[in-house]
Amino acid sequence: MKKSKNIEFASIIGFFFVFVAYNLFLCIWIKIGPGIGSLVIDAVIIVAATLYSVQSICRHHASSDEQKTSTKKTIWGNSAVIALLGAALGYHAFILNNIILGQSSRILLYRFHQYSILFGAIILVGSVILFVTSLSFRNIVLKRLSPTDLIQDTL
Amino acid sequence: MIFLSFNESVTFQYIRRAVFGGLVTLTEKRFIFYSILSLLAFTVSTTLTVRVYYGYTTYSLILSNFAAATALCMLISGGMALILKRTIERIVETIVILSFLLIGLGIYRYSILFISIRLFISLCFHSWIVILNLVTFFAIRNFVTGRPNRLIGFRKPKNAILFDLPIKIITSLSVVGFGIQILYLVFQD
Repeated sequence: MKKSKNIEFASIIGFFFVFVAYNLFLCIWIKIGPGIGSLVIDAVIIVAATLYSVQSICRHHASSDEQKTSTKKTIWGNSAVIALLGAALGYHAFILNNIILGQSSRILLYRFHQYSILFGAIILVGSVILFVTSLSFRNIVLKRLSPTDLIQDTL
Repeated sequence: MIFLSFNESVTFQYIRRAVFGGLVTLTEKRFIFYSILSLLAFTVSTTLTVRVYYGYTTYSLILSNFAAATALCMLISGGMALILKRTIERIVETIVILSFLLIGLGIYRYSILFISIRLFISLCFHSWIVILNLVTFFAIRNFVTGRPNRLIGFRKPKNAILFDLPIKIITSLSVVGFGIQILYLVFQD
Protein backbone atom coordinates (compact mmCIF):
# COMPACT_ATOMS: atom_id res chain seq x y z
CA MET A 1 0.00 0.00 0.00
CA LYS A 2 2.81 2.35 1.02
CA LYS A 3 4.73 1.44 -2.13
CA SER A 4 1.76 2.27 -4.38
CA LYS A 5 1.43 5.69 -2.69
CA ASN A 6 5.11 6.32 -3.37
CA ILE A 7 4.55 5.35 -7.00
CA GLU A 8 1.67 7.85 -7.17
CA PHE A 9 3.90 10.61 -5.83
CA ALA A 10 6.70 9.62 -8.23
CA SER A 11 4.30 9.79 -11.17
CA ILE A 12 3.03 13.24 -10.03
CA ILE A 13 6.63 14.47 -9.94
CA GLY A 14 7.38 12.78 -13.28
CA PHE A 15 4.39 14.41 -15.01
CA PHE A 16 5.17 17.79 -13.48
CA PHE A 17 8.70 17.51 -14.82
CA VAL A 18 7.23 17.29 -18.35
CA PHE A 19 5.69 20.74 -17.78
CA VAL A 20 9.02 22.12 -16.48
CA ALA A 21 10.87 20.50 -19.39
CA TYR A 22 8.44 22.21 -21.82
CA ASN A 23 9.39 25.57 -20.26
CA LEU A 24 13.07 24.66 -20.44
CA PHE A 25 12.75 23.71 -24.10
CA LEU A 26 11.04 27.02 -24.95
CA CYS A 27 13.59 28.97 -22.90
CA ILE A 28 16.51 27.46 -24.84
CA TRP A 29 14.61 27.79 -28.12
CA ILE A 30 13.98 31.51 -27.56
CA LYS A 31 17.62 32.07 -26.53
CA ILE A 32 19.44 30.21 -29.30
CA GLY A 33 16.80 29.35 -31.89
CA PRO A 34 15.28 31.48 -34.61
CA GLY A 35 11.76 31.29 -33.15
CA ILE A 36 10.23 33.30 -30.32
CA GLY A 37 7.80 30.65 -29.09
CA SER A 38 4.12 31.15 -29.61
CA LEU A 39 1.90 33.78 -28.01
CA VAL A 40 -1.11 31.76 -29.20
CA ILE A 41 -0.03 28.65 -27.22
CA ASP A 42 0.66 30.94 -24.27
CA ALA A 43 -2.88 32.39 -24.49
CA VAL A 44 -4.40 28.88 -24.77
CA ILE A 45 -2.50 27.81 -21.62
CA ILE A 46 -3.77 30.92 -19.76
CA VAL A 47 -7.39 30.19 -20.73
CA ALA A 48 -7.12 26.47 -19.87
CA ALA A 49 -5.43 27.16 -16.49
CA THR A 50 -8.02 29.82 -15.61
CA LEU A 51 -10.98 27.58 -16.54
CA TYR A 52 -9.50 24.65 -14.65
CA SER A 53 -8.91 26.79 -11.55
CA VAL A 54 -12.45 28.23 -11.71
CA GLN A 55 -13.88 24.72 -12.00
CA SER A 56 -11.82 23.32 -9.11
CA ILE A 57 -12.60 26.30 -6.82
CA CYS A 58 -16.35 26.00 -7.52
CA ARG A 59 -16.36 22.19 -7.25
CA HIS A 60 -14.60 22.40 -3.89
CA HIS A 61 -17.02 25.02 -2.59
CA ALA A 62 -20.05 23.05 -3.90
CA SER A 63 -18.90 19.89 -2.12
CA SER A 64 -18.29 21.92 1.04
CA ASP A 65 -21.83 23.31 0.78
CA GLU A 66 -23.26 19.80 0.66
CA GLN A 67 -21.56 18.99 3.93
CA LYS A 68 -22.44 22.20 5.74
CA THR A 69 -24.49 25.08 4.35
CA SER A 70 -22.36 28.03 5.26
CA THR A 71 -22.45 31.43 3.49
CA LYS A 72 -18.79 31.87 4.44
CA LYS A 73 -17.83 29.08 1.99
CA THR A 74 -19.98 30.56 -0.84
CA ILE A 75 -18.33 33.95 -0.47
CA TRP A 76 -14.91 32.31 -0.45
CA GLY A 77 -15.64 30.56 -3.79
CA ASN A 78 -17.04 33.64 -5.57
CA SER A 79 -14.32 35.97 -4.34
CA ALA A 80 -11.53 33.54 -5.23
CA VAL A 81 -12.89 33.21 -8.79
CA ILE A 82 -13.08 36.99 -9.23
CA ALA A 83 -9.56 37.46 -7.85
CA LEU A 84 -8.27 34.70 -10.15
CA LEU A 85 -9.87 36.34 -13.22
CA GLY A 86 -8.27 39.62 -12.15
CA ALA A 87 -4.81 38.02 -11.97
CA ALA A 88 -5.22 36.43 -15.43
CA LEU A 89 -6.40 39.72 -16.94
CA GLY A 90 -3.51 41.55 -15.24
CA TYR A 91 -1.00 39.16 -16.81
CA HIS A 92 -2.55 39.70 -20.24
CA ALA A 93 -2.51 43.48 -19.72
CA PHE A 94 1.20 43.35 -18.80
CA ILE A 95 2.06 41.56 -22.05
CA LEU A 96 -0.03 44.02 -24.10
CA ASN A 97 1.35 47.05 -22.31
CA ASN A 98 4.94 45.96 -22.91
CA ILE A 99 4.31 45.24 -26.59
CA ILE A 100 2.68 48.66 -27.00
CA LEU A 101 5.62 50.36 -25.27
CA GLY A 102 7.93 48.71 -27.79
CA GLN A 103 9.52 45.93 -25.72
CA SER A 104 10.12 42.78 -27.73
CA SER A 105 7.80 39.86 -27.01
CA ARG A 106 10.92 37.66 -27.27
CA ILE A 107 12.34 39.13 -24.04
CA LEU A 108 9.00 38.86 -22.25
CA LEU A 109 8.47 35.23 -23.21
CA TYR A 110 12.04 34.40 -22.29
CA ARG A 111 11.60 35.97 -18.85
CA PHE A 112 8.26 34.19 -18.37
CA HIS A 113 9.68 30.74 -19.14
CA GLN A 114 12.87 31.42 -17.14
CA TYR A 115 10.87 32.29 -14.00
CA SER A 116 8.59 29.31 -14.64
CA ILE A 117 11.60 26.96 -14.65
CA LEU A 118 12.89 28.51 -11.44
CA PHE A 119 9.57 28.21 -9.63
CA GLY A 120 8.92 24.74 -11.09
CA ALA A 121 12.32 23.59 -9.78
CA ILE A 122 11.45 24.99 -6.34
CA ILE A 123 8.17 23.01 -6.42
CA LEU A 124 9.99 19.83 -7.52
CA VAL A 125 12.66 19.97 -4.80
CA GLY A 126 10.31 21.37 -2.14
CA SER A 127 7.65 18.72 -2.71
CA VAL A 128 10.19 15.88 -2.47
CA ILE A 129 11.60 17.27 0.80
CA LEU A 130 8.13 17.94 2.24
CA PHE A 131 6.84 14.52 1.15
CA VAL A 132 9.59 12.86 3.18
CA THR A 133 9.38 15.15 6.22
CA SER A 134 5.78 16.43 6.56
CA LEU A 135 2.69 14.29 7.22
CA SER A 136 0.27 17.16 6.34
CA PHE A 137 1.92 17.64 2.95
CA ARG A 138 1.78 13.88 2.30
CA ASN A 139 -1.97 13.99 3.02
CA ILE A 140 -2.40 16.95 0.64
CA VAL A 141 -0.43 15.33 -2.19
CA LEU A 142 -2.22 12.00 -1.85
CA LYS A 143 -5.57 13.86 -1.80
CA ARG A 144 -6.63 12.95 1.71
CA LEU A 145 -6.75 16.66 2.50
CA SER A 146 -7.20 19.79 0.34
CA PRO A 147 -4.91 22.85 0.79
CA THR A 148 -7.91 25.07 1.60
CA ASP A 149 -9.03 22.68 4.37
CA LEU A 150 -5.58 22.89 5.86
CA ILE A 151 -5.56 26.73 5.69
CA GLN A 152 -9.06 26.96 7.21
CA ASP A 153 -8.14 24.50 9.97
CA THR A 154 -4.97 26.46 10.75
CA LEU A 155 -6.87 29.78 10.86
CA MET B 1 -15.69 7.87 -33.56
CA ILE B 2 -11.95 8.23 -33.11
CA PHE B 3 -10.42 5.23 -31.40
CA LEU B 4 -8.76 6.17 -28.12
CA SER B 5 -6.81 3.95 -25.79
CA PHE B 6 -7.75 3.82 -22.11
CA ASN B 7 -5.16 6.40 -21.02
CA GLU B 8 -5.94 8.72 -23.94
CA SER B 9 -9.67 8.59 -23.26
CA VAL B 10 -9.11 9.25 -19.51
CA THR B 11 -6.91 12.26 -20.37
CA PHE B 12 -9.42 13.53 -22.92
CA GLN B 13 -12.35 13.20 -20.47
CA TYR B 14 -10.35 14.94 -17.74
CA ILE B 15 -9.47 17.92 -19.94
CA ARG B 16 -13.02 18.10 -21.35
CA ARG B 17 -14.54 18.11 -17.86
CA ALA B 18 -12.07 20.74 -16.61
CA VAL B 19 -12.62 23.11 -19.56
CA PHE B 20 -16.40 22.67 -19.85
CA GLY B 21 -16.84 22.73 -16.06
CA GLY B 22 -15.01 26.07 -15.95
CA LEU B 23 -17.07 27.42 -18.85
CA VAL B 24 -20.36 26.33 -17.25
CA THR B 25 -19.43 28.06 -14.00
CA LEU B 26 -18.43 31.24 -15.80
CA THR B 27 -21.70 31.35 -17.76
CA GLU B 28 -23.78 31.18 -14.58
CA LYS B 29 -25.87 34.27 -13.97
CA ARG B 30 -23.61 35.74 -11.31
CA PHE B 31 -20.48 35.44 -13.45
CA ILE B 32 -21.88 36.71 -16.75
CA PHE B 33 -21.15 40.31 -15.76
CA TYR B 34 -17.50 39.52 -15.03
CA SER B 35 -17.10 37.36 -18.14
CA ILE B 36 -18.43 40.15 -20.38
CA LEU B 37 -16.22 42.70 -18.63
CA SER B 38 -13.03 40.68 -18.99
CA LEU B 39 -13.79 39.53 -22.56
CA LEU B 40 -14.51 43.13 -23.55
CA ALA B 41 -11.22 44.29 -22.07
CA PHE B 42 -9.33 41.41 -23.75
CA THR B 43 -10.94 42.08 -27.15
CA VAL B 44 -10.58 45.87 -27.11
CA SER B 45 -6.97 45.82 -25.91
CA THR B 46 -5.94 43.07 -28.33
CA THR B 47 -7.58 44.84 -31.28
CA LEU B 48 -5.86 48.07 -30.39
CA THR B 49 -2.51 46.33 -29.97
CA VAL B 50 -2.77 45.36 -33.62
CA ARG B 51 -3.75 48.89 -34.55
CA VAL B 52 -0.72 50.32 -32.75
CA TYR B 53 1.34 49.53 -35.83
CA TYR B 54 -0.83 52.03 -37.72
CA GLY B 55 -0.05 54.93 -35.37
CA TYR B 56 -2.69 54.82 -32.63
CA THR B 57 -0.14 54.51 -29.82
CA THR B 58 -1.71 56.89 -27.28
CA TYR B 59 -5.22 55.45 -27.51
CA SER B 60 -3.86 51.89 -27.35
CA LEU B 61 -1.89 52.67 -24.22
CA ILE B 62 -4.90 54.28 -22.51
CA LEU B 63 -7.17 51.38 -23.42
CA SER B 64 -4.67 48.71 -22.42
CA ASN B 65 -4.47 50.57 -19.11
CA PHE B 66 -8.25 50.30 -18.85
CA ALA B 67 -7.80 46.51 -19.16
CA ALA B 68 -5.23 46.71 -16.37
CA ALA B 69 -7.59 48.89 -14.31
CA THR B 70 -10.36 46.28 -14.77
CA ALA B 71 -7.97 43.60 -13.56
CA LEU B 72 -7.03 45.76 -10.58
CA CYS B 73 -10.72 46.30 -9.69
CA MET B 74 -11.46 42.58 -9.93
CA LEU B 75 -8.46 41.56 -7.88
CA ILE B 76 -9.03 44.18 -5.16
CA SER B 77 -12.79 43.53 -4.93
CA GLY B 78 -12.17 39.74 -4.86
CA GLY B 79 -9.59 40.22 -2.12
CA MET B 80 -11.84 42.62 -0.18
CA ALA B 81 -14.77 40.23 -0.43
CA LEU B 82 -12.54 37.46 0.91
CA ILE B 83 -11.41 39.56 3.85
CA LEU B 84 -14.69 41.36 4.59
CA LYS B 85 -16.95 38.36 3.70
CA ARG B 86 -19.44 40.37 1.65
CA THR B 87 -22.09 39.22 -0.84
CA ILE B 88 -21.89 39.32 -4.65
CA GLU B 89 -24.03 42.51 -4.86
CA ARG B 90 -21.61 44.27 -2.55
CA ILE B 91 -18.72 43.03 -4.71
CA VAL B 92 -20.33 44.66 -7.79
CA GLU B 93 -20.78 47.90 -5.83
CA THR B 94 -17.12 47.76 -4.79
CA ILE B 95 -16.03 47.27 -8.42
CA VAL B 96 -18.10 50.27 -9.58
CA ILE B 97 -16.76 52.51 -6.78
CA LEU B 98 -13.16 51.44 -7.46
CA SER B 99 -13.60 52.09 -11.21
CA PHE B 100 -14.80 55.65 -10.51
CA LEU B 101 -11.88 56.20 -8.13
CA LEU B 102 -9.38 55.03 -10.75
CA ILE B 103 -10.97 57.12 -13.52
CA GLY B 104 -10.95 60.13 -11.17
CA LEU B 105 -7.28 59.54 -10.38
CA GLY B 106 -6.53 59.26 -14.11
CA ILE B 107 -8.28 62.58 -14.84
CA TYR B 108 -6.45 64.29 -11.95
CA ARG B 109 -2.98 63.05 -12.91
CA TYR B 110 -2.51 60.39 -15.52
CA SER B 111 1.14 59.67 -14.56
CA ILE B 112 0.17 58.55 -11.01
CA LEU B 113 -2.36 56.12 -12.49
CA PHE B 114 0.11 54.96 -15.11
CA ILE B 115 2.94 54.21 -12.64
CA SER B 116 0.67 52.41 -10.16
CA ILE B 117 -0.92 50.34 -12.93
CA ARG B 118 2.50 49.41 -14.33
CA LEU B 119 3.54 48.23 -10.86
CA PHE B 120 0.33 46.27 -10.44
CA ILE B 121 0.46 44.46 -13.78
CA SER B 122 4.13 43.65 -13.24
CA LEU B 123 3.07 42.02 -9.96
CA CYS B 124 0.33 40.14 -11.86
CA PHE B 125 2.87 38.88 -14.39
CA HIS B 126 5.05 37.37 -11.68
CA SER B 127 2.18 36.06 -9.55
CA TRP B 128 0.63 34.42 -12.61
CA ILE B 129 3.79 32.32 -13.01
CA VAL B 130 3.34 31.09 -9.43
CA ILE B 131 -0.40 30.44 -9.99
CA LEU B 132 0.22 28.57 -13.26
CA ASN B 133 2.85 26.29 -11.70
CA LEU B 134 0.73 25.52 -8.64
CA VAL B 135 -2.41 24.92 -10.75
CA THR B 136 -0.43 22.52 -12.98
CA PHE B 137 0.96 20.66 -9.97
CA PHE B 138 -2.48 20.24 -8.37
CA ALA B 139 -4.11 19.33 -11.71
CA ILE B 140 -1.55 16.51 -12.10
CA ARG B 141 -2.16 15.47 -8.48
CA ASN B 142 -5.93 15.29 -9.07
CA PHE B 143 -5.41 13.41 -12.31
CA VAL B 144 -3.06 10.80 -10.84
CA THR B 145 -4.71 10.30 -7.42
CA GLY B 146 -8.21 10.30 -8.94
CA ARG B 147 -7.42 6.98 -10.61
CA PRO B 148 -5.35 4.94 -8.16
CA ASN B 149 -3.70 1.94 -9.83
CA ARG B 150 -5.73 2.49 -12.99
CA LEU B 151 -3.62 5.07 -14.76
CA ILE B 152 -0.28 3.45 -14.06
CA GLY B 153 -1.67 -0.06 -13.67
CA PHE B 154 -3.65 -0.22 -16.97
CA ARG B 155 -6.91 -1.29 -15.29
CA LYS B 156 -5.37 -4.15 -13.31
CA PRO B 157 -4.13 -3.10 -9.85
CA LYS B 158 -1.79 -6.08 -9.62
CA ASN B 159 0.03 -4.87 -12.75
CA ALA B 160 0.99 -1.65 -10.98
CA ILE B 161 4.25 -3.25 -9.87
CA LEU B 162 5.12 -3.92 -13.52
CA PHE B 163 5.02 -0.18 -14.07
CA ASP B 164 7.38 0.44 -11.20
CA LEU B 165 10.36 0.49 -13.58
CA PRO B 166 8.96 3.09 -16.04
CA ILE B 167 8.04 5.33 -13.10
CA LYS B 168 11.58 4.98 -11.76
CA ILE B 169 12.93 5.90 -15.20
CA ILE B 170 10.68 8.99 -15.34
CA THR B 171 11.80 10.04 -11.85
CA SER B 172 15.49 9.50 -12.72
CA LEU B 173 15.00 11.60 -15.86
CA SER B 174 13.42 14.29 -13.66
CA VAL B 175 16.53 14.35 -11.49
CA VAL B 176 18.84 14.50 -14.54
CA GLY B 177 16.66 17.18 -16.16
CA PHE B 178 16.66 19.21 -12.98
CA GLY B 179 20.48 19.04 -12.90
CA ILE B 180 20.59 20.31 -16.50
CA GLN B 181 18.24 23.16 -15.56
CA ILE B 182 20.46 24.22 -12.66
CA LEU B 183 23.55 24.13 -14.89
CA TYR B 184 21.70 26.06 -17.59
CA LEU B 185 20.52 28.76 -15.15
CA VAL B 186 24.02 29.10 -13.64
CA PHE B 187 26.01 29.16 -16.89
CA GLN B 188 23.52 30.74 -19.33
CA ASP B 189 25.26 34.12 -19.43
